[in-house]
Amino acid sequence: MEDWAIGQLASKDDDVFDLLKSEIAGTPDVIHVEQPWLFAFAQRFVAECAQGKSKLIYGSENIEHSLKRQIIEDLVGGVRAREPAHLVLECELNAVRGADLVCATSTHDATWLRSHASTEVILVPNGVRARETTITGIAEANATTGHLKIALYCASAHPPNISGFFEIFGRGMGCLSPDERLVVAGDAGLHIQSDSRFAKVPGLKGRYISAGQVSEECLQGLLHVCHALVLPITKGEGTNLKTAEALWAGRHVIATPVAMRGFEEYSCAAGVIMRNEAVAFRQAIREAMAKDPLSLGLEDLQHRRSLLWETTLKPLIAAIDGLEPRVAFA
Amino acid sequence: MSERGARTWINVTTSVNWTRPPVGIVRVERALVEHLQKQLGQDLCRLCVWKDDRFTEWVPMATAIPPRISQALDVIIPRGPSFDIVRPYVVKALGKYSRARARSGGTADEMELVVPLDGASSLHPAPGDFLLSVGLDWDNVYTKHFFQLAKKQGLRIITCCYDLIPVLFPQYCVGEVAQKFTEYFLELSWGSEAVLCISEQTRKDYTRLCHELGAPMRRTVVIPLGDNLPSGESVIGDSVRAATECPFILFVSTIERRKNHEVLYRAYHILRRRGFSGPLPRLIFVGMPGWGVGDLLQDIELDPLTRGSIVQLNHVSDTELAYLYRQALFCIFPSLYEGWGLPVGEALAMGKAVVASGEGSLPEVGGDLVHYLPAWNPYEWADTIQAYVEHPELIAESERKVRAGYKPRQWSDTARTVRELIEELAATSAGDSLDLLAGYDMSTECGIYSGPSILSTGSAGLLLFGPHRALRRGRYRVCVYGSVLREHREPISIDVVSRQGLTIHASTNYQRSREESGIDLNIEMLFSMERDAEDIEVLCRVMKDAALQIDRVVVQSCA
Repeated sequence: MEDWAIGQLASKDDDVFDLLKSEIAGTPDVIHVEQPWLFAFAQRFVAECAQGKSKLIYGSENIEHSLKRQIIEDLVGGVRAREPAHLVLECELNAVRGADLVCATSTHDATWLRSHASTEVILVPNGVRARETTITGIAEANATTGHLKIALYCASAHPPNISGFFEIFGRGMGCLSPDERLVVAGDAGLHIQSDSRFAKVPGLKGRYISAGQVSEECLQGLLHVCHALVLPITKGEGTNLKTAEALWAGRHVIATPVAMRGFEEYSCAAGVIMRNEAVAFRQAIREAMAKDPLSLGLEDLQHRRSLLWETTLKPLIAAIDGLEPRVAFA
Repeated sequence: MSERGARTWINVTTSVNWTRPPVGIVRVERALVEHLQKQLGQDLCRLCVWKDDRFTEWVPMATAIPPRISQALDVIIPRGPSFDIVRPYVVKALGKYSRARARSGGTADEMELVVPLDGASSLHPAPGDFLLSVGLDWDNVYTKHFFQLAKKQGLRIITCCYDLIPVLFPQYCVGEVAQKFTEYFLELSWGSEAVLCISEQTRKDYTRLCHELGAPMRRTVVIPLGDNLPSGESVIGDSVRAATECPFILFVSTIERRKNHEVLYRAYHILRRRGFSGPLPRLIFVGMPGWGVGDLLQDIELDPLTRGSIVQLNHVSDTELAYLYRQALFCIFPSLYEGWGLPVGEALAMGKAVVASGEGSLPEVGGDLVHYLPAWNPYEWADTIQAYVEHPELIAESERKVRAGYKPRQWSDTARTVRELIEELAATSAGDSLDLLAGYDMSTECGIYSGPSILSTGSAGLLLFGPHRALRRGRYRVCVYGSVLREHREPISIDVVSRQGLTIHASTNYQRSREESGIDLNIEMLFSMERDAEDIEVLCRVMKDAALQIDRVVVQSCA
């Protein structure tokens, strides 16, 4: 609930409000608020400092109250999750109702947002930047992987990334051969390793490499050298930024339907396997690891260009262009 | 391919290190040694032990060594585990020398011993050979090496799954064994080409576990375990005679929680409490007390209702066991789970009536010849025991059915099933080709690993070397696949070598001609080997500024 609390602090505590507003130079025409937490701050800023002229866009990444309820339920049980979920819902509804434009990352989220928004809700899927792979990045990746054949999981320490991992792999890591490794890049790597469940998963310890936080160059190296990418996400709304990265990497991808949300058009793409059940997910990994390295045809490569930010952000740019300027307060 | 067929090596590490009377698994290992060597011949069926990180031929020490040879042996070879393998060979040599000296009338004081140049390879399993490992493999380090032995040395490994009790019923085992055994079954699955299962139930349990874990499904074959008791000629001891003076019911099994001796104790308690006043037969437990039964054994000892009715016998010889089976009124086996259930088979082979639980694989052993009862219900066991005691005609009828219907399983049949599996697998080629992804399976000095490929970086030197794999003698084609990243017409040299580069099997200098265009690189060459190689290697040297990517190296038999 730190996100929610920071939002409350920034909008309601005058000292914090002043400190934060001092970071903003001039009067923006449009303010895009990513996630709902700081939307109340932005509303106060527009009212008090921008004479009501700035347009507000709410960029939803998730249906936050639903996700937070799942996370808190896992930690403290359903009864105690009710109040925090309600507070987040209020915060989220304030953003949806107060925005001049709402962006959703998936059609699923857009449906919910439209039922509460008083303005247009547009679909702006997550995307990826085309980055270059360097020899240095590959060398750094090799230093982590020992040039073994790897499946890569890129994830932050966001709780669903950890719980999803253990839901999918908790029974045992039989899907990788003794010569293969699962590399976890990002903060999830160390969180998974220090979780009390880690040591109890048969076969995991010897097949697991935590890369932890890596440089952008090394991440590109890992995406280049990996044989497959796994997305064992079982909870959450919205879309997963890492899914776009995984699809763009052009390697085998094994993902849950939750991880593929917003990227459904790729569910049957070359090298993509979508599995919901843990057993089927693990078997799909083994099958993918036994296949030849994925080689995409020109048509597939061209299709995947729709994952780039330059494509995914087009609806947002058009919508911003179409926003009516606000009439300044008298 | 080599002219000689694949050998089968039986890993006898468990038996060699076993110093107590044989238990089930040791008996299986020894029975397979005896019968497979008979069926395949000693040249094609050899024994080996895990020693110094590899499997090495095991030649059993002659049982009776003449004192003079024994003395000489101690002078030449120190006693100690490091020399265990060489001692039998020296005994053989000394025996030969002794006979030569005797033939010469005591004049010969030297003897020529010829060590064949390829002797080293015949002491170890060669590529394409089968390794049969059916011992206590979860307690031995070699299991962790099976995957690499198959991958790098080309061994075709057949293992055995006895049961999944530690995984399915860890509560009946000592400590937290579920994880250890799950990991063991993972090693087994990744390292084996085929897995023998001692029952359909075990096969079902094992394949279900592989499915759950996402582990590879190997070929599985159910092997029937022999239930013919080894013949013995020892005398019947006093304790056995005393215990069998009055009629008795027999339960042969180690005394542990899973075997469910408790339900029988409770059944006896119920019978006595009911006031069953008839001559209740003695209940004899034959087996070693194990873990987790202390309270039960104390209850049996203290309970005034059952005191004297339940007797334990331990350290029973094969002769005594056969005697006990013969003398028993009937046999009983209430186990909560079994991977097979040898005592049920043994009792049936002796023509006895059997009452057993229907758990695990037991119905596979007994078919419809056994009277099955629910394992957890002592009242049903009490009722059935009472019925059998009050109506001996029920026992006689059951025995008649058993004698007419039970076909004892022979160890030779167990071995035949294994032999047929080996023959079937041998019909599929193995050990005679390598399909290598350069980036994972090979090494580079001047390039960089790039996932499955190796990329040149512009430096001159060894772009590719390895994989140091074993390969059988024969004629082969090597194909190096990759791509040219930038037009470059400097020569690329490719060598195929073994014995750490001492033997060069083939060399070529490849240079793109002016007519060749495109990015594909495909270099082919042929070579022959007259001996098996333990460390075949493909070397690729490039000049400065080469811009290549090597993806795949395939070594394929041209037989």
